[in-house]
Amino acid sequence: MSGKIKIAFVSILFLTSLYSCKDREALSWESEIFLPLVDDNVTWSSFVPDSLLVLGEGGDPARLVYKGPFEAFNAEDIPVLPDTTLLNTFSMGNLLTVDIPAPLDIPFMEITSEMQITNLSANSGMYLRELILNGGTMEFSVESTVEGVLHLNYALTSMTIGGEVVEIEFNVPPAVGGVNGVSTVNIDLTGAVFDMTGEDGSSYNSISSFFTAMNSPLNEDVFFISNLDSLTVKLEMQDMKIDKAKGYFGDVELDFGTEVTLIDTVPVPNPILDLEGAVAKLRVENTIGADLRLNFDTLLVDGQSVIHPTLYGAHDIPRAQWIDGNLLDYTTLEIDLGESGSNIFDLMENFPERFRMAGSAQVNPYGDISFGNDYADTDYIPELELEIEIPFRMGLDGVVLEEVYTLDPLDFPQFDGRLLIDLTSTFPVEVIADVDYVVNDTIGTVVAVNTQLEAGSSFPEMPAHALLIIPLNEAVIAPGGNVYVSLTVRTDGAQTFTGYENIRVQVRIEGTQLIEVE
Amino acid sequence: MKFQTKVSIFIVTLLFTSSITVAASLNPSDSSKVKRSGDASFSVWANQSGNVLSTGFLSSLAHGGFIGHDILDPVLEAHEGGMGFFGGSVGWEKKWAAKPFKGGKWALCGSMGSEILYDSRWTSDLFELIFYGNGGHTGRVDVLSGTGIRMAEFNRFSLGFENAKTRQRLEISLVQRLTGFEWSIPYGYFSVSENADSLDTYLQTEARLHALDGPSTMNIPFGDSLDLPFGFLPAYGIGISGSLPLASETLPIRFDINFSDFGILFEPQGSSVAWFQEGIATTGLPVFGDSLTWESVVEGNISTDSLLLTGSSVKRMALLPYRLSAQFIYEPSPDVMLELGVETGGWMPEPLYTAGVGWTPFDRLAFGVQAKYGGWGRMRPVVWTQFKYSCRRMLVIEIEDPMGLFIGNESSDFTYNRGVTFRLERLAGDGWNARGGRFKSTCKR
Repeated sequence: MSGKIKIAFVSILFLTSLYSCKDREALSWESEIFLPLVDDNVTWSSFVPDSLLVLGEGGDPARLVYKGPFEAFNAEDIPVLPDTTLLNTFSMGNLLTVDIPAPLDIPFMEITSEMQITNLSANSGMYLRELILNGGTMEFSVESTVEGVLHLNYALTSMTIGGEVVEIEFNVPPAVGGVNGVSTVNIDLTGAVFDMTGEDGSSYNSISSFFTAMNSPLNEDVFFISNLDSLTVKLEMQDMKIDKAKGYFGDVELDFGTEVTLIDTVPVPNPILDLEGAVAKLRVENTIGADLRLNFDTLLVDGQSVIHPTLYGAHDIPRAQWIDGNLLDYTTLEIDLGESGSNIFDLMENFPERFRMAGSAQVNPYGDISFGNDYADTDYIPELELEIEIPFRMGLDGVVLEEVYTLDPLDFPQFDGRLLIDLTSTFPVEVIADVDYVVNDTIGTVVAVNTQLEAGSSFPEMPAHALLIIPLNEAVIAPGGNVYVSLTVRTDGAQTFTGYENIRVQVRIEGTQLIEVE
Repeated sequence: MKFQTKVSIFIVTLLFTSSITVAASLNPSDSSKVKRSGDASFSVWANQSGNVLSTGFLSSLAHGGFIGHDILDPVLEAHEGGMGFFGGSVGWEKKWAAKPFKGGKWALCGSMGSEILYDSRWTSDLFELIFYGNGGHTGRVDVLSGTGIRMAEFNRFSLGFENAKTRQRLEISLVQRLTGFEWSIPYGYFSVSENADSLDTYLQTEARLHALDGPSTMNIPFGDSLDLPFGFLPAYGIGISGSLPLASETLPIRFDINFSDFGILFEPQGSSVAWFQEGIATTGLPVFGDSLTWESVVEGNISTDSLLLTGSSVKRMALLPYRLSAQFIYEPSPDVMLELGVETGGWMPEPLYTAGVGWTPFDRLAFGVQAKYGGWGRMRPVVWTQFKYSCRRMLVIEIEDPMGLFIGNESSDFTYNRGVTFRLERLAGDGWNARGGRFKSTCKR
């Protein structure tokens, strides 16, 4: 590069740098922003689960309807099968006077046996004739003193799974050096059907089996059987869960104590309910083929005892009609908790939260009058159901809503604008709205505004509206803060609410900011 | 050298060689032998056009300070059709045609050059959102789709043949894109309801940097080197260029069709790609709060409902920045020329229309004025002059929207375009037919 070109090049660079170093004011312009910050809708659904609220149509009051089980009974209360072990020992006995070689291809032992389940109940007299399980295991083990491998074929002739008799074929190892040969097989009892009436069809708690023992092809040498040899068969049934059962379920008494929560957070302040038209019922459905006798000891509403003329005492509920595993008919007992002489509505005036009930249920109070034809299906457990229906006609006095909306710190330079809070209400009561905007600055600046919304209407829909304005500048908006909204209502006497009432809270920001670009 | 590049060069060479063979085998029917070379030119240009960003507005941005609505309103109102454009090119090109083969009609011709193309476009709604905010038009859906910016540097080399009589010309071009970038919003909108009780926005954007990750060193003239934060990732393409002049033998009219770089660019894998998608809708949900804030939307550090993909591109094919133009020329007298033209391509968002008149008051000097409309810009004047300093050689200077060159001067405040082209031309020699137009005669020596 020649010297002149270099000088020219450097000069251009120098002049360019001088130009670029010239003082330049930052570019700036105003931007007008209008953004939604919060859009919240406060309705009855915000506090009362939809499943409980039945909206009132045509201006009728909404109703709080609870219809749910007390969950007093469950499948575990239906005849329980304990873990059971059945043991049988079969010996050659005195038939053999001398030791004989184990025959090939011919069973040298064929035994049919019936085993009795004896531990079903202590004193209730319970027995079973048919049983269908939906869970459980059976461990089948054979212990042999024979000094050769035995091939066993074992069949539980009273049990079917999928319509087939359970048949097990397996080999038992030989006894060696005085140690018996043992073999074990596990069977899943899910879906197992037991006919427990035995060979003659009139027994109960009986399990029949048949097995044969023969020389196994695995034996390489001849072995001998003596009159001292024996086979011990053990059946261990565990964790059996009943699906369906038939028999006699015994004279059993079951205690229950249960609680239901209507609404755990009372949505309304100091409510006084007008309970005209309210309903409170207790309903029991006996869906098992056994008689029930219910004894109610306690009914509490928010911890206070309900006084009732007929509730406490024995209530007999006849058995349900089952034919061939189909529920033909069942019996229902309904007790009106609000009948004359009851104080339950007095206890419900302040919006009840919890109901507690305790008592006992006696199965087969008249003994085995069905002659072993009690029937239970775990899909049809007796239900103790509470039905409460409260019309939304009430008086209120106090804070109905307290909500905090967080505004994050915002980089809106030289902001000049307003925070707009729109309140729209269809509640048929006056609503006092207090809004505090607490700035996240060092001194916790509070900007407080309030307003009063006139009574609106949800039917016909005539919302009342109020607008709150909080002036904002950069110092207030930059650190962010919290908007505390408190809504207070007060009624003169009971007021009807249709359930469609709502209060809409909208927070918007409106203003201009100065955008600067260096 | 990459396989793709080798293939491209091979194809060009093959076509070139076969074309020469065909041309050499032609038996000229005209008895007059053409013994001089054809047209040649060397051009350098730089131009910029736009339809909304006036020079005054750009000066205001450059000077800094507060820009109020008195400055912004005319710019916003200038968004005709709801779009703003800004683009242009800077480059050089050399074109030439040799003597015809064996005194025949066909001559080897070629061209080479470099060009930087830049193109940006945006919606008026986006402009309004940036400079005005959304306060003035709540309840309206602000469309962001169609916004984008791209820039690339192309080098090209072409070889072909030109007919000395018909002046038809056809070239095979090998085009290299040295580097470039592009960013666009294929789909996006922003909406705040009239009462500002809901916000609904969606943004889908894609960016590509046609360069390699990692630093590299570029050798620059005078023996120095420059450290770059990225490495070049050239892409190669192949296309055809040429011209098809049609002239009436009885009337003084001509019709020229010119085209360049009709072809495909083969992009190699490895471009950096970022793809971002975000949708925000509030219907009763707080925009501010712990989860989603307007601030986080602005800062782009939101994680909910957003999708950001980054990585390297795979191979793909793209169109070359082709150009196609048609020009009608009428010469009512030997010293007056009227022209009408239309041009498209070259990344221009709209066709560029031209109408002009030329006058040759002296043998060696010609002048002309044109009105151009379209491309990136709005209506602007163009002046040109042509100085013939020898029988075969002349200098052409073309200035687009001359007032736009006086940047910083108030007289240029209402201009939107500017451009300068210098071209040295060597006219075709004896034996070549004149192309006409712009007074492109031939030298009968």
